[in-house]
Amino acid sequence: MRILKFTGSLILTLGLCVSLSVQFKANGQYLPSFGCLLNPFSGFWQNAESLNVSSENAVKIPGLKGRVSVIYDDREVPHVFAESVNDAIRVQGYLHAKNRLFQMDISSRSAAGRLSEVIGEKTLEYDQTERRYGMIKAAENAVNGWKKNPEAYAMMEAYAEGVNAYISQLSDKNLPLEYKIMGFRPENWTPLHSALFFKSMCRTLARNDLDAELSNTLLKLGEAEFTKLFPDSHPLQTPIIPSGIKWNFKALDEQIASTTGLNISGLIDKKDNSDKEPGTGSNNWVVGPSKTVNGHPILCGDPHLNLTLPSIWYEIQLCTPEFNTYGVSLPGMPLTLIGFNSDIAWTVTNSQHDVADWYRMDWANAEKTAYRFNGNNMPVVKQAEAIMVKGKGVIWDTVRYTHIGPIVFEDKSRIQNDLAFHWVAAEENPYDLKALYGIAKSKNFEEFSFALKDYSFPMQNFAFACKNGDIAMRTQGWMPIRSRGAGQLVQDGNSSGNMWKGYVPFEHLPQIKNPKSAFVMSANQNTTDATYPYKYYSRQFDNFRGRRLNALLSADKKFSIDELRKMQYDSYGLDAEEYTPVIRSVMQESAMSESEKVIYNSILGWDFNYEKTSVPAMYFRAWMEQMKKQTWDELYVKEKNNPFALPHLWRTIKLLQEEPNSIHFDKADTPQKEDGKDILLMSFKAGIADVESEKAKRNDQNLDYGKFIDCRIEHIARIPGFGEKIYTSGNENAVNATRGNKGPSWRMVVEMGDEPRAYIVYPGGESGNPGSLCYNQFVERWENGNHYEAVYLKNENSTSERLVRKVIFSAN
Amino acid sequence: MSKFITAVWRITINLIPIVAIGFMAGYTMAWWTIAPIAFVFTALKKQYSPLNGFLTTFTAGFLLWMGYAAVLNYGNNGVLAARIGSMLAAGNQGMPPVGLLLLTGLIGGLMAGLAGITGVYARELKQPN
Repeated sequence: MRILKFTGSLILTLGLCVSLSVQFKANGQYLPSFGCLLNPFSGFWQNAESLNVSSENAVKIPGLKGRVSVIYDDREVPHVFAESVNDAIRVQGYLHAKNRLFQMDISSRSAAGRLSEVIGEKTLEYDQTERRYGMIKAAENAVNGWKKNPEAYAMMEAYAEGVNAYISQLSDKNLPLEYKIMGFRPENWTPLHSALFFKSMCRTLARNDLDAELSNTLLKLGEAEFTKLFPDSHPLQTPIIPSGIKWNFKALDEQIASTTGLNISGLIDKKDNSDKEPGTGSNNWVVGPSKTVNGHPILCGDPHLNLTLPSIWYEIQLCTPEFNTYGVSLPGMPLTLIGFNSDIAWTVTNSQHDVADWYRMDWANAEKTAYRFNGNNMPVVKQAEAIMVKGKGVIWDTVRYTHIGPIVFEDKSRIQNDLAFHWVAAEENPYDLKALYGIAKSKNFEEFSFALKDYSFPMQNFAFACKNGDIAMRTQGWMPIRSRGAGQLVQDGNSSGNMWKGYVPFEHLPQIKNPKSAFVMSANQNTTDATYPYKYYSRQFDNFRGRRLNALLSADKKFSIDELRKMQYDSYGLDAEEYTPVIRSVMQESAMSESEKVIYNSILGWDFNYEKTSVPAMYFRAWMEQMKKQTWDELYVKEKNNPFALPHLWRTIKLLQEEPNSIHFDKADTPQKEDGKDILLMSFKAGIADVESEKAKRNDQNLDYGKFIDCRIEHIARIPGFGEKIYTSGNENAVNATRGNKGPSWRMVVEMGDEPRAYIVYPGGESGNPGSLCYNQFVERWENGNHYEAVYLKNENSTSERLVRKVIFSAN
Repeated sequence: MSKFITAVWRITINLIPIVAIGFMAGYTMAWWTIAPIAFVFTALKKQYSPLNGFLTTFTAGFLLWMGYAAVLNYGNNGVLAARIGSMLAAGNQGMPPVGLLLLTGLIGGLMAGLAGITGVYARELKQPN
């Protein structure tokens, strides 16, 4: 009896201990280990940071050559003062890890296709796709490149040393929160991890081509309709390099005989991880001294990316004997990507150029071990991929590489051909870091432009301002040389004639400096007009923001810093302004009910500002969403991987105006024949119904645009409760391009006078710890257009009442 | 009544060393250290009936876990507890910080209490019939 009681209670105790230690699975997802997570000694409570500022005052990082001091200001922004560049980078690595380790880890894992290792089977397909895109290989190429340039490799190693100095002191107790929830530990950081992080950025900015989707669409619509519905850019768009520029060179290879047109015989099915939703873009502009109130150039920039917590950006000042920059860095990479020093300021927007091409490779045999090229059989190189899956062990996959790139979506049922992927960002560039380093050191446009020579990808529009009054815009990156339209569709991979002919030389890339207009700007629109000697393509060029900014900046007036800050929040919808007259001319008012007429008239009377409090803006948006769906029902497949590309809405409205009887307006699933007028009316009614059902769903009769668009900043691993709901104005076609979970991820306005004066804000906070008060510190001011003034310190001894504490870093 | 007060008093006096040792050990050892501590404690001391042993160790574990968590939560203004609360009860209103503190206490209490009762039974194994 006694033995029974003892054994019974022992088993119960051990059972409880074990069940609180293991991670159970629910709905295919691992739950946290509750004992590990909830105990107050090493669980989440330890991540509940005290309101009192840290008492840390000395940190050791092995490898530091000298003493580094880090002064924190009242926003927890570190100002790093080091005796050498690599020492500054070591400390930057440490600070990134201290504040953003999990973010760095999960981003590099997502590029490497190593999420399943810590998440489980749920992400297996995602991982497989990333492996097949050759992301690890691309990252390895980057590391091989850096190794060829010892200076760059030393920087990457210094960075990793800093990260690892932080990792090595981690115990169960001070492990970042997400590791405790997900139940794994960080591994040592290497330059390869940085390279993977870099590739994840390249994926966001330069892996959003629609070659396969557009080929499918061409197959479905026929060439005449396709050409009409998918023009290269909006005809009214004002290019980044204004029309009228004389190009005093000829394209290097004018005689390219590559095939365009349709190169597929059946629809291509690809399950993609790439994000093709609009919203990833950016604005930047610079106003010259003759056009500003203070007579100094002012540079403005707001890169639009996925809005996450922690933010993609980490704000930092880095001061070394060679440079003194302030700006934002990417946790995972050294130096700053956007920012200013005491002489120049710079910021980027994505060029959007399609630098990812798909080629149809014809197999030479049914085993797919060789493909036809220039009349010969070329062997594929098989790469084995081992994907570790939590709870399951290793899953093997084989990726076939052709000489131009991997076969990403291998169709097992088809033996004739598959598509190979050729991507600029998979290439090796030993000098990309040198470019960032060169920019940081630049004192004028000559030095800046010299530094940019080494910049390869992702291709960006660099805006520049110097305190000497120079302003400039330059599109920089490796731009493939190919024939017109060649990047748009799937191409024939059978001959070298169809391949890229190298990259456009530095001297031929579009650039403008000190134009008569006294301003330069870019908003992801087409870089040049059609007179530019090289051909390039993108399906993602902006249609409205560029024109809106051009109009605002062309005003005959001098701008103040405050006006330009406000301009970053301009929510005016040029799209709405241009669609409304067409709608008015087509709309059948007689077919509307009284209440519908009230809504319709409110839209006609709307000032076209996508203001959060606007009700007409909400109805207009719901209407236009329906207009897209109802018109392009023949191309609209509800599954996640829509195999078709949809024409832009502006092209749809133009069709409504010019060909209201076009067959595209006829709905496939109704017996009667609809025309544009019918579809416009039906969409209007359906849009109202959408709004009504949202009102009912949320039990909110006072729904407005801001509530309706339901913007959120999600946690980077989408852990519920760790994100923020935001209430904001904006639209992807407005300068304030907030949309869903994307938007201006950093806003900066810098006046380059004798001393730089910068106003900045981003939707996040310096700390990535959800248990820190700094985690979402800046979100509210970001929402409300209330930039902070940056504290730019000339040197370590500079004073400011906003400095809070100082920490000394040394080797021992 | 006085018997009850005596029992409460005894539990209170006896749980202090468990809480103190548990606090120190919790910092350096695995999260479940409270269990072996409670076990050793009831196995060595003679005065415990199974119920008394359970109550003493449960209360010690509960107070230690919840108390320490409450201190950390207070310093943090409840910011993280609110986030964890909505993570654990995703889709609903979220668990209030107080609920999270009670849950934390309950786990600590059960771990200690079950180990405590096991300790009492372990001692009984050695006793003559």
